[in-house]
Amino acid sequence: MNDPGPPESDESLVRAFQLDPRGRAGRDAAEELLARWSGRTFIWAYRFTGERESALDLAQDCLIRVFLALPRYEPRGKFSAWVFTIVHNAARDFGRRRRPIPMEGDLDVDSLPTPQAGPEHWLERKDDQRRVLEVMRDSLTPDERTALWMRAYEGLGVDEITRALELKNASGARALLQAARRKLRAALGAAAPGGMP
Amino acid sequence: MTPDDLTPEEFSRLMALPEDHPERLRASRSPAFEARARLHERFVNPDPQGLASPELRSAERELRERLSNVVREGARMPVSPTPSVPRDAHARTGSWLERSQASLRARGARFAWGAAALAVMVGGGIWLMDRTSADHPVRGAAEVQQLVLEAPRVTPGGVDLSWQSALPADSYRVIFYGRDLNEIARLDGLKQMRYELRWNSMPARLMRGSNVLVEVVALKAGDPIGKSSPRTIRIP
Repeated sequence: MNDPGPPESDESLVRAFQLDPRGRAGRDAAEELLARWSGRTFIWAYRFTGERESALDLAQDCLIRVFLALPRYEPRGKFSAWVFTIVHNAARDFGRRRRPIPMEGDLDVDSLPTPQAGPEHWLERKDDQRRVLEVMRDSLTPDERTALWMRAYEGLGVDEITRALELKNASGARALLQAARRKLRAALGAAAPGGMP
Repeated sequence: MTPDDLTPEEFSRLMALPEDHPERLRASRSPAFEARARLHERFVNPDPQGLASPELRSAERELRERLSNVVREGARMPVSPTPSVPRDAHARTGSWLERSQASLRARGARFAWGAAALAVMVGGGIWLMDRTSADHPVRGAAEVQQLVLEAPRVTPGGVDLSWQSALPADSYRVIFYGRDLNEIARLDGLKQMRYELRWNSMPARLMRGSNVLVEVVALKAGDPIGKSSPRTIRIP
């Protein structure tokens, strides 16, 4: 009996696809690669949709994006990180599209740049932003930082953050975000007598 | 570092560096990178969170089937920018499109929405080509420019569509297609390179809660000279 040997690495499958994107070998490599990441992508999508059928559609959309981007993948990187960024960006866009009207009040970080503010705002407030980021780094726990980042900068909803961070407590990300806000306000208030920028 | 700085390539490159590499250490001080790295860890080693194994396996199987179609259609795409693509690949666009259209028509009745939508996404609008070819004075894709429709931007009151100019267009047309890929609405005579679809004044037949495909056509004296790939928008 032939030993099939160790499974091919993701990188070698990408290479096989890039060498022969229209041929049988390339197609097989791409199918194998997408199948290999479909479970994780589905689970990730499920965290954003909370429901199987929508998660399947979203996972499919994510993996199509991965497939379409395969020709430009450069093997010097870490493949899982490359796939994840594509998947996460697509899932994040899904979350934003599903919630076109800004959510009111559940996190009132009113001095942080909002996801709706746009790049001009980011640039205008670069100094403020740098300060906020420094305080985030120094005053918040890693989970608080990640939750706040996802909420304030990536525009994700509390439920999505709860699922993405696999938080099991009853209040989910809400408690983390409230704690983060409290600490941030205190730290920024202490840093500048005038309060938050 | 903002979320936009963390392209897949950049994040992947940074993550491939040893954890004590100066560049990686510098990146780790950014909340954007830190958040992405923590989420990446959860992505790679997930807790299925209530998903039973059979459910996960069935999802994987279904995705595999769906994506198999995508890979097969995609393998015939003439636009792959890899070095191994022959230089004359684009010259074969017409015949490839004709082959794809013929193939789609032959299978038409058997295609469910999912498969048809995949073909639209992957083939850069093969099906829509069918629908709009009557607009075009000469059949084939070579005379029609690829128009870039930016990612739709959701605003509090609607969705903002914008696209890049296609010279020498004198107006633009926005066409909406439903799940069955039939046209459901169109807006003609747009002079600007943007259009805001407002939820409170939508064209008739655009239904709330539906997904629609949107495509932009550039016109010169009424003749199409450019066309975008379709994009999906969800109407809340």
